[in-house]
Amino acid sequence: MSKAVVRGICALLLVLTVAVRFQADRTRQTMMSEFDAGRAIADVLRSHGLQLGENPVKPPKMASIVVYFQRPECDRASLVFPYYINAEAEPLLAHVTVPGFERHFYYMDSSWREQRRVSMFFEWLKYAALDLVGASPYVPVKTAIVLADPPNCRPAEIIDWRVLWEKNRPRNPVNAGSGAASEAARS
Amino acid sequence: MTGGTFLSEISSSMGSPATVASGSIGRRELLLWIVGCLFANQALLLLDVASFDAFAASLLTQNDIYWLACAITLYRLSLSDPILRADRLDCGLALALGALILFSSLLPYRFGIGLLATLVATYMLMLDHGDRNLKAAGAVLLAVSTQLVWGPIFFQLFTPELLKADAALVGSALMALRPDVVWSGTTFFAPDGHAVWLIAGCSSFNNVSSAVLACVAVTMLRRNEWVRGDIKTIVIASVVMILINVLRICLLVWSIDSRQFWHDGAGAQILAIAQTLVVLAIAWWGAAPSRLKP
Repeated sequence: MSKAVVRGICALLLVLTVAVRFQADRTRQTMMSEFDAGRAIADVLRSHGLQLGENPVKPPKMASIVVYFQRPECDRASLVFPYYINAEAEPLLAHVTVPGFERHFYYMDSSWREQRRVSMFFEWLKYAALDLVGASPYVPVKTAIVLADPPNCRPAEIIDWRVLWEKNRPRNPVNAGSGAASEAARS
Repeated sequence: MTGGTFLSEISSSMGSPATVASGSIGRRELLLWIVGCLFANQALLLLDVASFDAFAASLLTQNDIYWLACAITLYRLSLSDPILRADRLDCGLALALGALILFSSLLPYRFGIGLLATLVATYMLMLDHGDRNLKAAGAVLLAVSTQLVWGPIFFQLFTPELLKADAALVGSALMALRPDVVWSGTTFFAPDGHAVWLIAGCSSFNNVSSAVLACVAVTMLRRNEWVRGDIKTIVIASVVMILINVLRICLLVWSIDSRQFWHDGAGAQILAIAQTLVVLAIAWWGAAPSRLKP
């Protein structure tokens, strides 16, 4: 093959890969900015008829991302907050709860009783790979959630948190992309 | 070695009579296309090209050491053997890599390009045909790919442990300097009421990763072979980076005013520039040609 042809192929490949990547990156950015974990959590709780509580802590403090809600069968409020899967959720959890709270960590279609970063990373990897061929039902953002229920609270209804990451979850584009949670999702 | 010498070295090398058989592409040029394609794709992930303002803002947040390493990879590659033709293996690799880069374009994550960079670097290191410049380019590219993919994966797996190690260093320093600061796990409580909680971005691992990249890149800029003392340089640079990061976190814990200046104010830029200059100075000193034994 002549030098000119090889150079032409190389130049074409360079332009093509950059163009495809540019488009793919824009699509991803749009997807990420539409994922507002804090709002999604509130939507899921409301859809289960649960009453949201007021968070006295305001941004930019970390604890402002915590969403409080009241289960009718419990005497104290439960809480849930989103966090970047690689971040340590424990310090914030310890700050906003007291000993005895029951914790559950959720990420896409898996849940754990304690923070499992490696398992979550592989979960993300699985859905990021599936997303390449359009086969992932979830938005592959690196945002997990942790739920903490007060002691002696036996929830009557189990909330399906998977819906949080589902692609077909109805979203409110007006408010999309705001808040610290979506910042974490972008990382 | 001065900049003028570099330029003359490049121009003499690039301008030499084409000894590659006419009609066929040289190995050096083919590898330059591949590496250029990798860097162009990577640049798109590191720079925000949504608007001019966003682009300008993203330029300010770039890791200068990373881009310096990319430039040195291309520099060393451009000095590699101009005579050698691209053989079937080279062409096959170029073809496979072209397809993989195109496929990875659909994957908007850094590790796709990082993995391919590792592949190309390994190829350059293993099939250098005795070409030291090619080997040097491969070493820098391997360090770049480590910064892009292997370092972040390692960090992802060991974040809490690394943060605890950082907290232990900071806590030990503060026990001597500020015994009134309460240290609990990875959180520090100052007496004025503010608390600092170490998160991934605070880890000195990021600085160590940049220090290793700087040492590899600058060493391969000044010469194209390794000496035993280079490991010592990398260790010194890494330790200095850890100490600067410990100092930085101590300043953040010191008081609210100190935190605002060193984290959100001009102090953040001062520290970033100081860190870059210090690590480059250590790398430059460590890579002095005089350290080569005859």
